[in-house]
Order: sequence, then structure tokens, then C-alpha cells
Amino acid sequence: MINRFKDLSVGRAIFLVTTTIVGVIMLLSTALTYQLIFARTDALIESTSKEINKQVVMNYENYLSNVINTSNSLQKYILDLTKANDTLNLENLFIATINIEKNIENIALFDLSGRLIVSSTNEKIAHDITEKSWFLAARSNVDIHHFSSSHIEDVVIDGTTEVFSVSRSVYYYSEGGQKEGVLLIDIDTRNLKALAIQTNLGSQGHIIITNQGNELIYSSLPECSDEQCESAQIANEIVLGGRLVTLGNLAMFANVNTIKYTRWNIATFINVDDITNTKTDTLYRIIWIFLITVIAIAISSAVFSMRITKPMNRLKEHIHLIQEGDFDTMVNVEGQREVVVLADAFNSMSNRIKGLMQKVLMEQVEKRKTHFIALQNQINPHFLYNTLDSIVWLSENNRNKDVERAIIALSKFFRMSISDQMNTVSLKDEVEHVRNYLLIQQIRYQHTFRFEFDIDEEVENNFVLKLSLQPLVENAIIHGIKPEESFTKIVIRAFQRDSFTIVEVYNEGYGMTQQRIDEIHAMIRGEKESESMGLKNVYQRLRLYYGSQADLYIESELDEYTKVTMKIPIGWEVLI
Amino acid sequence: MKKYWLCLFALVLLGCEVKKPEIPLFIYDMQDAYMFDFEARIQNQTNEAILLTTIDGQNSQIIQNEDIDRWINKKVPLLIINPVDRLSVYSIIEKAKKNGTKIIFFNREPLAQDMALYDSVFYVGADAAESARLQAQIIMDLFGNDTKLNAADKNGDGIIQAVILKGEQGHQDAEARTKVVVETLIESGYAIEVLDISIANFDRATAKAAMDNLVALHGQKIEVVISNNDAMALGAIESLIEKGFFIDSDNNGEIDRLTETWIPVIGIDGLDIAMEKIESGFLYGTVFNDSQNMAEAIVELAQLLIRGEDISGLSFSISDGKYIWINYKKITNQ
Repeated sequence: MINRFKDLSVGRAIFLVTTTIVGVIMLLSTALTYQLIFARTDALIESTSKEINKQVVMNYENYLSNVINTSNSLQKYILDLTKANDTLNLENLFIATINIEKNIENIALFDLSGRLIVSSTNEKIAHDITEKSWFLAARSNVDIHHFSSSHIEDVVIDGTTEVFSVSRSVYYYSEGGQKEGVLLIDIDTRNLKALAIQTNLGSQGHIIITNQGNELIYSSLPECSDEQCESAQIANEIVLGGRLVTLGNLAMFANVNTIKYTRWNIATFINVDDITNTKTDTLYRIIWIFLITVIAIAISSAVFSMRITKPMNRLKEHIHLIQEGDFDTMVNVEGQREVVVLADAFNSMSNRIKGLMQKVLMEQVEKRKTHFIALQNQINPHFLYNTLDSIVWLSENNRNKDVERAIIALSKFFRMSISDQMNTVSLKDEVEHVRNYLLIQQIRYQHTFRFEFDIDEEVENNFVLKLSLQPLVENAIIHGIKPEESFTKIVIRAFQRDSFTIVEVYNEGYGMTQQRIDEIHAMIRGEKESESMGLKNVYQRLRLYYGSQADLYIESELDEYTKVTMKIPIGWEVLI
Repeated sequence: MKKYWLCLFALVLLGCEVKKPEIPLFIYDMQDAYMFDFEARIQNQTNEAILLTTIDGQNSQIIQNEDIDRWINKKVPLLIINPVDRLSVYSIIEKAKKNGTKIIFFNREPLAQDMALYDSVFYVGADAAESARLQAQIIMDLFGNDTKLNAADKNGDGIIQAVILKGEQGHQDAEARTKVVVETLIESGYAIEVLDISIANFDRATAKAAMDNLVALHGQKIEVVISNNDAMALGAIESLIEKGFFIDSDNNGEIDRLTETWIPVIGIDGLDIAMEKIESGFLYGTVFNDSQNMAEAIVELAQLLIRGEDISGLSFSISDGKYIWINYKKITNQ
């Protein structure tokens, strides 16, 4: 992993590191924020819902405690008035009570056989009172008030009102003694509904009241009509306390509480969908902010790293160019300051290298020039010595005529050598020069050789190195003339082949072995100590002046001939 | 979770000692003098093995429900509850059953049908009827243990003229005590005329007002004031002092029954202040609701339940596997 990381380009590394660090930090802070906000929101939902639930329960408790208080008061009056045998007043009291407490539908007192003692109604009382559930409940536990589930009023025949019954075993006096009976108070369910409507539980928020047997007493939600409905099931499951539930795609906070003295449970379902939606919205928003930030960081780190790496890549390419020898292109970069400074430094370095290289080149040229002139200057004294030696020899033999001709030829020869400062001359001039030389040498060698020129007109005006032909001819004379044979022939031939001026010096001499040729080649190319100064001098001047294309080489056949060929590229003069 | 952190913290500081299990003690209302005393007695019983946190229900079942729900969710092994509304506890029992939390109820007895809902629910208390029977015995003592009655029968008609101060109408104890005290006297052959029953909600101030009213109605006819508890008895005494039924002639703060004017008032509970009033002769007698014994029983049972031990090892006798009944004691200064 670390190695892979090391292999990354600077740009990628910057991009990866920045994006990763920012990403991780953002992720952590986002998660933390989310956690904080949501914990608070959840706590807020819970506490708010619980407060609302408490309020609702208190409303119901107040209302139902009132019923119990009424019952307790009635019990006391029942004792007092039955003791005084004043059932008429008791009846009046019952009637007065239902007039004051509008939601009380009916008050009735029965003995244990179900016979009516007093009631607030004139309607016909049902027969089977002892079988009514409220009666049985009151007898099953005589110490408490019993709150029945809602039903159609059943204490009277043909009851129509929906009521819940509050029943209790009570004492009354009859025939001088205390007896037990059952007090029934039927209460219209309207008030349960009115209380439910009073409370704002949000859209679809509702109240469910069940008894301890999980029988549905009341539901403010029309579609929840029995204990099988979802809300009732949830309430049954929670038993006590609250939690967040989903009802028909709505988030609701369900709270279950007891209503004091009634053995009823009340469940409030409060619509918290808006809050939970806000929660979801917040989550989305947080995720968006996270994504946008990470993307923004990724883009800006990419741009930033590009500003570093792009100029660096250009520098890199430029270095490749320089490796290939191109010092002329300047690198031009834009980017961060350091990179620009680096590029500038690089440019000045490459300029400096270029300057140094040119200087070295100039020095080389100067050196060659000096060498060239030195080589050229070697020719004359050597030749002069040989000629003067010949002339001395002629005059010793009183060949005055020949001395005269020799000196004329020598003077022509020298006039030409001195005449101009150019390094090259036309082939025509060089040939003329060699002709004078040959004339001198013929005198010296007493016409033991003949010579011929075979110069193509098309090469006559081509330039050749000054004094380059003469040493070849001199060599031909020295090595080619056989003293035992008169009239050895020397042929000087010049023509064009391809883009070269070819000059051949041919002599019918002894010739030489291939081994000897190789030796001479080695000598003139400087690989071996030289014996023949002339050939080597010419070869070196050719190379200095024309470069590697120019050549000098020897062909020979033993006892037949020797041919020295000079190969001069046309128009390839090296700058000197 | 928090506990583990605390434990870890403690480990760093002290070396982790085994933490006492924290058990909630729900009191229906700390404003109630009797419960205030009772709570202190229970807390005094606790030792190294148990830590009780008292939670005041402020006489609201809603508040108590909320606290109980919270503590059940904290996964405590046991709840000790003095319920606000004994009729509402079936929800608490169901909830505890779902969560496997054991419950000890005390002082206010749930309905038998609710107690039957769950095995691990217990009740520590005194039988309200028993207290009334003892109260009737005090009355019989007062009238000389003779159905013909002694001088305490002021009008000499052989009938006890009594007023009763009743607790909350419908309250189990109030109903039982009111009913049983009269029944016991009748069964024992005494003639009793209940001049009036006033509901004073177990409250001293309410009782004083009620007594004012009763004195106005019945005055000198009243031969004995029977109260469902001490607090109301004390309220009645306040009223009676104002109306001249107690005359501390020598101003020594005590009533000498032989020489000074007094009227018998009998309470139930045995509050500390009631004991003082008995000492000083204002209160004739009370039935000591042995909260000390109950407190001992509650703490001992709680420890067994927390440890998951067999409750048959309890030093109090258990009826029906769930009920621990603590006996009352008669207190008079005779």
C-alpha cells in the first residue's frame, strides 16, 4: 500500500491525501452533527408528546373524577335519605343531579335482586338488571367504582343514547337496617368525544380509550371501531409509556397512560410526521452539504495539484528535449511560484549549457584551423629542398639549359603557391601546378618517366585542396619509377562520380602487396607511425576540411600498377 | 452503560467495589405525613446491599407512570411501589411482566385480580379491616368493655353516639375502616349511633373544617370521634380545642383526664405526632400501623428478590405466595 502510494504522481498524491482527510473529517463531523440534532429532536418529540398526553389524561381524569365525586356524594345522601325513609327527596336529588350534570343520562339505585329503589327516569326499567354487566361488575368487587365500556343505555327498555355506566355497590337503609345495593350512573359518551376534540393532536392524531381487558371504550378515530384496529393493538402492546410508531405512513408518537380510579387506559397518538419529516430533510441537507463540500475539495485540490504538476510535466518534457540535444527551445510555464522559479532556473541553465557548447565548438574549429595551416606549411619546404637538390645536381652536370627550365618551373610553382591565401583552388589550377612540378621532376629524373593528364571538363572548375595533388604525384614518382625501365607512365585522371570529385594518380610501378597497402592505409589514418609524410598530410587535410566523407585510398597490383585515389565531396567544405 | 462507566471511573479512583443495586422506591405523595415517615423508615432499613432512590409521585398517577416507565426501561430488577391509584396498577404490572421486572407494592393494595396477573409481584401491607377491628377494641375499652357502657356514655342512653371522619370516599382503607369499626362494635353487642360520617380525605385541614361543621350540628351529643387516620384525628382535635371540648385548666399543655375537660378522639396510623398527642392526653388512642415492621419486611423481601433467592427464607410469613401482612398495635395511654 505504502509502495503503491509512493508510486503515485505528486498531483494524485495531493488529490488523494486532501480529499481523504477532508472526507474523513467531514464524515465525522457530519455524523456527529446528525447524532446531536437527532438526539435533541427525538428527545423533544418525546417530551412534547408526553406533555400533551399528560394534558389529555388530566382532562379525562378531571372529568371522570367529577363523576366519582358525584357518586360519592350520592352515596352519602343515599345513606342519609334512606335512613330517613325519604325516597322522594332522593329521587328529586337524582333528578336535580342529572339536570346539573348534563352528561349524566340516568341515575338509579337497585337492591341486590335487581329491583329498582330510586331512579331519575320515568321510563320503563329493564327486567334483567342483575344480568347487566355493570351490575355484575359492581357485585364482583364491592369496594370500587366500575367503569363499563360504551354501550346503548340498557337500564331502561328501548334506550337510545350511547353511554358508559359507572356502577358501585353502596349501602342504604331499608326497614331499619343497612343493606347493600348497586348505584348506577349512566353517562353520555359525548363528553369523552368533546374532550378528544378539544386536544390538538395533529392531523390523523387520535385518542383511544380501552379498559383493563383491552376492550375499546372509545376511539376518536372513526376507522378504529374495535380492539382489533391497529391503534388499539399498538396501545395494548406498549401497555404503559410511549414510543414512536408508524400509522398509515404517518409518524406518530404513541403514549399510553392510565386514567385514575377508572381502570381505563388512554392512548394518545400524536402526529409528529412534520417533525420526523424535518428530521429526514435535515438528514438530506446534511448529506448534500457533505457531498458538495467533498466534491468542492476534490475539484479544488485537483486544480491546485494540476497547477503544480502541469508545469512540472512540461519541465519533464523539456528535459527530454535537452537530452536529445535541443537547447534552443525555452520552456514557458505558468503555475505556482516555486515551479515558475524552477522553470526560469532551468531555462537559464540550458542557455548557459548552449553557450558553453558553442564556445567549445569554436575552440575546436580554431584548433583545427591552426593544425590545418601547419600541415599545409609543411609541404613547401620539403618540396623546395628536393627541387633545389635537383637543380644543384643539374648544374653540377653542366646542364645549364635544364637548370634554366627548372628554375622557371620552380618560380611558376612558387608564384602559384604564394599567390593566394585561399585553402582551395580550382582543379584546373592545381593540375597546372602539378604540371610544373612534373616538369621539374622530369628534368631531375632525366626524363625517365612520362606523364599524362586526363581531366574531365566538368570537374575542371571544381575546387580541391591547395597542394593536395602534388604530394600524390611526388609519391608516384618516388615509388613508381623503375630505374631499369625507361618511360614509366604516370597518369593523372579526374572525373565526377556521384557527388564526388574523384582524382586518381596512376603509375605503372612495382605495385605492392595488399599487406603493404593496409600498412600505408593504417599510417595515413594515423593509426601507425608514419613513414610517408606526404600522403598522411593530404589525408588529414582532406578530413579536416571535408569531414568523414572525404577519403584517400590506394589500389595496387604487384608489378603492374599503383593507383592513389582522392575522393572529394562536392560542396561539402567544412567551415574553417 | 452509564453504570459501567461509573464503575470504570470508580475502579480508577478506588478500585471497583461491587456497586449496590439501585432500586427505585415510588411514594404516592411525600406531602402525606404518614408516607413521609414511612419512607424514612424504609430508607433507614437499607444497608450495604441495597440503594433505594425515592421518587415522589406527587399524588399523580400520570407522574408516577412516567417515572415507572423510565425505571423499567433502565432495566432495574425490582420496583418498590406505593401506588397513587391502586386501580391503575394493572398497567404497571403488565408492563413489568413484559420486561421481567419484579414489583413490591406496599401500603395501597392492588386488586386481587391484578395481583394474579404476574408471579413476581408482592404486596406488603396491613389489613385495613384489622386496623378497624383494633380501633373498635379501643372504643370498647373506652366504654369500659361493657355493652351497657360506662360514664363515657355521656347521655346514659346505652348507645354510643359517634361521628366518623372518613378518608377519601371510595378509598379502600376509608371504606373498610368505616365499615368494619361499626360492624365490629355491633357484632360485639354494642349499640352505636353514627351521628354523621364526614369525608375529610385523610387530610388534617379538611378534617378540621369538617369537625367544625359536625360540632355545630351535633355539639354535646358527640361521645366519640372515630377517625380513619391520625391526620384527620389531629385536625378534629384542633377544631375541638377551639370549640372548648378540651380545657387545659392548669395550662401545662396536657390534659388530665381526671380533672380536665376532654372528648375521646381515636385515630389510626400511629404517627409520631399522634403519639405525642396521646402522651399529652389530647388524642385518646390510635392503632399503630406498624410501618417500622413493614419497612423491615419490604427491605428484606427486596434483597431476596434482587439476589433471586427463595422468598420462603423471609422472616415474615407470606400468604398466597404474594402477601405479607403486618399486624397493627393498639396505642392508648391507659
